[in-house]
Amino acid sequence: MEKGYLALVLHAHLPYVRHPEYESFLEEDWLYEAITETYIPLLNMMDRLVNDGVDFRLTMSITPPLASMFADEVLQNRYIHHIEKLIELSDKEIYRTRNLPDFHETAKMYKGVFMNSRYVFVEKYQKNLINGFKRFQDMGKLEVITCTATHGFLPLMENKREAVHAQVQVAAKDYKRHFGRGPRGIWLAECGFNPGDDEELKKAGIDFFFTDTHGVLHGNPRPKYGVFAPVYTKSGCAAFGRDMESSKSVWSAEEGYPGDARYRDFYRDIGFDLDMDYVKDYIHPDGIRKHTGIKYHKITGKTDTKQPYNHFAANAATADHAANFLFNREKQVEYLYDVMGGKKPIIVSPYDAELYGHWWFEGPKFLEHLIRKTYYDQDTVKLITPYEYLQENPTNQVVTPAMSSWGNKGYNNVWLEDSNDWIYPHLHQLSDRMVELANKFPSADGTLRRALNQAARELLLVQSSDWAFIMKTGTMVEYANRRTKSHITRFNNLYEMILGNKLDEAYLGDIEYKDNIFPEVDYRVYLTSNLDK
Amino acid sequence: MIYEEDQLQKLTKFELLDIATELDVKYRTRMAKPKLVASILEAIAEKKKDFDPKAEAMLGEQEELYKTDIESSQEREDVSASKYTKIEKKEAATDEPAEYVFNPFDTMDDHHQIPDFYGEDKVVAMIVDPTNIHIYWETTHDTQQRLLSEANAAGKGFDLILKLHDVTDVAFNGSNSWSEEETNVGFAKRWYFEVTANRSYCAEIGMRIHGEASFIKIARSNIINTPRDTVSDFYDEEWMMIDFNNNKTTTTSIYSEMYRLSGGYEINRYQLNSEFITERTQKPYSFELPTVSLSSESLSSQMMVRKNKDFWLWVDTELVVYGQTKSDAKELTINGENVKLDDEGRFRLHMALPNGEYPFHVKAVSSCGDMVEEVTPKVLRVTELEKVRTKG
Repeated sequence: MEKGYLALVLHAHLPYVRHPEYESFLEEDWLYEAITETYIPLLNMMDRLVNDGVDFRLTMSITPPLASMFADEVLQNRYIHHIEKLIELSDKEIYRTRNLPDFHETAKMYKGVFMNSRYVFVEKYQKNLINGFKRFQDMGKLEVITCTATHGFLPLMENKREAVHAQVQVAAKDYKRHFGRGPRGIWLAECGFNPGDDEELKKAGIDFFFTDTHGVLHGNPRPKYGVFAPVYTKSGCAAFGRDMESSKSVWSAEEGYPGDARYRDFYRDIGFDLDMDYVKDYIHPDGIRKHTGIKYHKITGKTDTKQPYNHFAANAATADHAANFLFNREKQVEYLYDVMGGKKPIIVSPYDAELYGHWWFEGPKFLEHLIRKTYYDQDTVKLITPYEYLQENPTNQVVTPAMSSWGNKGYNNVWLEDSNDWIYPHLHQLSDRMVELANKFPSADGTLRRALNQAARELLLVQSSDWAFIMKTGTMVEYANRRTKSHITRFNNLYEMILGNKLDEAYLGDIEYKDNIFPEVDYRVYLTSNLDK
Repeated sequence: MIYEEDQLQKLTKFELLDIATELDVKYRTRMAKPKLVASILEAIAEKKKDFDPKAEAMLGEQEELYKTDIESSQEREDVSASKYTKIEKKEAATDEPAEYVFNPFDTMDDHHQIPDFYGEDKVVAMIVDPTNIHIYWETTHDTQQRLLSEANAAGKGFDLILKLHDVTDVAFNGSNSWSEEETNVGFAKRWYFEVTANRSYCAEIGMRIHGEASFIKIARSNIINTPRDTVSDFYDEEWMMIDFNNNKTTTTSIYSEMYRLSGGYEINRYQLNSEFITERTQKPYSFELPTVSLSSESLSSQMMVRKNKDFWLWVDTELVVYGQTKSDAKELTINGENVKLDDEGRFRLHMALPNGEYPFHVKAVSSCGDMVEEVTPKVLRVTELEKVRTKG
């Protein structure tokens, strides 16, 4: 009989990047890489587990922008083109490495991965990976939860309640469009929580959410079991706190498993390493070198001389690491079970899904070993979803979690600092204006209605926490700046047009085509009167 | 808040009284210090009966772990950033430099300039972390000129001033904050401030006409509450059960099915102290709360001595007036204002204490109105300002 539970939570998210107006767009690769390296490997893992009769539970947030990109035809077809180019490149690589035994095996592996990706994407899930995730959700193995509509960071939206309301409502509605029922849980973007947000979650029919460790730990009153049992907020929403111990062993690049010398190095890529003439068809058409995904070296150690990668040795390492992870969880559960006087603890281990596969190439293999070992090798720890835990443990302490996030330093520091603080006067002004428009035109029709809905899309898109994050971390900053400015401009243009009663249909049509997220969005979600319901 | 006897012995009687109030120790005001310490220990033991030392130790461990984990949170950020990264290379792997000069937006059709201002008068406060906040503002020329002419100061020069008020547990009316900090913001549009965790703040943007003392408010901000940065001291356990197994159709139905279970002992046996304060101080009182201003020393609540940017000191005082009468008392007034009693007849008033003399005429009337008790404590605050000294 188990003494406690482990809830693995994978947060899958990418910002909405879709530029039909350009033939090739560098930042769209974020999605294509994650499909090949993370999302398909995870689906394949679940497939194998189900086929082998391994019972498991996994929780995954698929954010509304990611779900929208999965379902978007333009991006689907571009992915097929992308993966076909990679198959072509991997063919050339097999030929190029025919006399380089250290690399040849790896080249063959890549071709296998890319061929499989194409098959799974096109044949198995008919170009829409949501079909895959929904399949495992319907089997009861996977719980897909939502996220704030565009990964909006709620703690910095607080001065306009309607903005928080809309981020949650739009997400819940969009989830229903993809998964056929409402979401039971939500991953608040960056775990950003401010007391009171839970009321908005409850209004959207959401039963649980996650906070970082100190969200629950510093909650009021003092949480009796720390983060090892959920707490209820006053509005009746359950909050689960992140466990640090289990989290660290995977997150940490230095001390954690992904830093092992046998694993594949993330930085060395033939997109940079090989002759321009050879790779020019597989990088950006303007000759900008980029990651292709074909990487031949292992981490090796703190050295510039990287040794060739061996995927057999790397797979063996994932089994060792999975065993170590599970052993530590067993010890942790036994200790907690005792401390909690026979109540079964829940250990919540959340990760960015893209950590598995994209950052840590072998991550999905590690997860698969972990799940299999948990099922076959021991009885102390059992996998569970938060919802199942609540069904089994419906009585919990009432605690108001503290404002918190899982970002660096634990609060809003990442999204509000010198590099990105300039965006907030605009974001807040846009929220104010959106609410003003909704209240002024509570029952618009025709073109006016389209314009109001588009204004809502522009506001939601500019609220993606990704832009502030990218500005802070300093990679691809130019793109984040431009996206922010272009949504602000588009919104303000619409605002002037709507109030001036001079709608430009051609302009509206153009931005509807470019920023087409949330086809069913209803601007009335910004009505102030919604807040009392 | 796990107090050991030797820790308590070191506290002043006033500090002990504060703890005793939180723990609801009976007759605490009449006790001498040793008795007070004993009673507090007794009350803590009583509370902790319900609390498991093992669980307490676990919370302590988690807090420790959290403190170390937060140090390494930069690592998580680096990993997260990798999903947006295309070009970044940690180590120079080849002789060829990374070629990345392309900017697709050079050709983008609509990268317009975004506005610098929206033509509004407003100030907005945002939380950065428990001890840092960010404030931005915007004021219009029109409003400035209108307010100047209303103050008969048209054409005069002024400084733009930002006031940051500590408004913890008060219904802020512009002059009843615990403390305030003034900044001449010049032409800045935004500013970061260091503050204290678990307090409430409100900012005001306004003008101070050159050569004059009064402050002309232009706009006031939202109120923000900085988060607690430690484990809470409140032990009160309240439990709730939600029936997830019953198929719910709407959220309201599940809400109505929700009921509370006690954790093995009475709920609300111990009223939260912070709630108690809030309840009391939201009402206006007849005694005057001072207009606090840094420039007029005699009225100053908060003393700020600045010598240079790197070193400073501020000192403030607060006052608690509290007591207890029979719980069925008809009324209790302080300086003529009605004060609500809790179920056990307690009352408590927490307020800023600026320089000056303040009598508190406390009057209790028994349930049938035949008995009246009156006590009038008087409080005097004076501040002797020490000269600022610098060596050398």
